[in-house]
Amino acid sequence: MVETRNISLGGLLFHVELPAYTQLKDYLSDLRQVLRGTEGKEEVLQEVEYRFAELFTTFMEGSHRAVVTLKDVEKACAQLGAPSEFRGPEEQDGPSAKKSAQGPKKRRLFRDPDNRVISGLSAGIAHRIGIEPIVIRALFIVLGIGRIGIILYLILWIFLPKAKSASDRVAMKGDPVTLDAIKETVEDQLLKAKAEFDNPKSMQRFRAGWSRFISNQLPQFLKGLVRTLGWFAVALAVVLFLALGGLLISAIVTGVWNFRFVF
Amino acid sequence: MRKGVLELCILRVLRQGEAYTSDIVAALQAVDLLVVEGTVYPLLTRMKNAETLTYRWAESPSGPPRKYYSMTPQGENVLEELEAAWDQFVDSVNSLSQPNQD
Repeated sequence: MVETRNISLGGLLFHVELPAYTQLKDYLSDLRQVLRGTEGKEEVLQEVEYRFAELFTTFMEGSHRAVVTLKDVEKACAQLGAPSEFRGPEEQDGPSAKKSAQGPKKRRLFRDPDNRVISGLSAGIAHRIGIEPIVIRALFIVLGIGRIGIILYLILWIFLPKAKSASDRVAMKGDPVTLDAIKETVEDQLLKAKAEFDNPKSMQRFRAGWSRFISNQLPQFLKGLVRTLGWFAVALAVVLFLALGGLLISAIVTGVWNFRFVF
Repeated sequence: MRKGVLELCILRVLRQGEAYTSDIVAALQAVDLLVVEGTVYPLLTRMKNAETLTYRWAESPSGPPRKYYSMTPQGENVLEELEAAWDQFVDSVNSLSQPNQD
């Protein structure tokens, strides 16, 4: 006896054995991942669903069965090819190879919930510019004494999205978004969860971060620092602009230059 | 195999009249130009978006409706260009294997 699921593919109803259902679902979600960002993705996915429906219909009619088995799904998947085949011949050896030769793909700015102390903002910024999060944290603390850091932090916290999905995390850390990279990230997270379980003291994480920083990050640090400072100068300018705008508005409304409103 | 060549093959198949995705795939597989169907789907969508191809839905005796693709007039121009490029490519490659005549 095997449990089945009812699914609708291309507008047709299929009874699918549970292992077959899991396989099919994995295939389609892998395919969705592969097609991320390619032209006409939804159309291709729809066409693939229709094709599965057609193949299953043929298989069912050919053998007078009513339930799709794992074998059917495997056969259909083999006919369609692995999800990576959908990337097209030119992308397989063209741009991706070139990209890795030119260095890592441009990283995206997210908050990193896996490395957070407060919101993961510092870790996210650190990933973006390729240095240790501790540096950004220290900068925020220094700036926080003059209060501007706190305002800046809150503003960025509001505006930066959290890295939610595995592909967000991959994009944040700068590896090209491929299935393998995502799988690696997921495995990485599992390992990390385990390590955290064995060693839950965040102070130790803090120390480990410092020692790693001193041993292999110093040269990178200087480069990163320059870029970070430039970045902060821009952010600071934005904050000052907003603050002065507020000051101006309050001056217009109340008729008094109230500098305490800003600092 | 490169995209341009596959595109040329699809257009050559469609020159003989409209065909549905699996017909195209079968035609390419029959001459060992294609191993799996997966490669063709994104390409067809891209060619459709580039208005080289167009399609219509048709009822199917069994299973869901099928997409029948056919070539647009613009597609014929693309086919001509690709064939010219292909001929030149083949000539160039072939000329390498001929003994030097000088």
